[in-house]
Amino acid sequence: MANQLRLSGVRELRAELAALPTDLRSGAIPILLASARRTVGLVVAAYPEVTGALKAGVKLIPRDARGVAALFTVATTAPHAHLIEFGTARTRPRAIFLPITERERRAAVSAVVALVETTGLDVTGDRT
Amino acid sequence: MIDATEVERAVIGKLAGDAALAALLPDGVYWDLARQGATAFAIVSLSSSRREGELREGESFRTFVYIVKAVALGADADPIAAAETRMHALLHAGTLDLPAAAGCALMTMQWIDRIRYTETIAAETWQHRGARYEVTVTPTT
Repeated sequence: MANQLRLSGVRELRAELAALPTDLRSGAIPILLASARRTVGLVVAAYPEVTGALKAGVKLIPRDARGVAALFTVATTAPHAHLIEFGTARTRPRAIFLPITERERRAAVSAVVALVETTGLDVTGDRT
Repeated sequence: MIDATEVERAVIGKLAGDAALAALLPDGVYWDLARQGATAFAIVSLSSSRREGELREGESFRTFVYIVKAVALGADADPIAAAETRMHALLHAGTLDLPAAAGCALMTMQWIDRIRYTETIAAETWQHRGARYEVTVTPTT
């Protein structure tokens, strides 16, 4: 009676699993970068222009991420950006930055999830 | 069909109907912009919205993110801090009185992130405090 289970290709499987995070990171970076660039364009297009400082203050900041993480930050840096977003005592809020960045971030996460699923992995939980 | 205006009315109504908040912000609760001359009031405004399409012919949930903030003239931090605390107590994990015309029922209402800043207009100090709240509803019709 057989008392031995033989698996072939285990070494190859381990190597593939070990390379998976790096491969996924390489695939995710262009997705995230394209999303960040698109987000910057959308925010700049939507911002009102008086002096131009508000539009000029929208920045794409690549971040150093540890391990296999990939991180891009879209920031609005004009000193009065919060007064546009949340309003002043005498002007209404004009929600621009937050809705655009939140929508685009959800889309980027969905795209990365789709990328992960191409490997045969299942992604569960909050996808946003 | 979900009537977003009724959801907004319910949020404003919840805040406007609270005696403790009215004592702290006597000039009332407004959508987007307060009346001229108001010096202590609450503002409710739409920050974003989205729908989650799964059931019910494409829409199972709809989420509204509202800016809810107290605005007060002057540098005294205590009243506006109390107003912020009261608004949070009313809204976070709270209930909403949604009429049938709203076409929906409340699923969740929760705090997302804080709002706090000070501005100076013509040498006057105005304080703004509050948060963004996420209100998720599901269709009932």
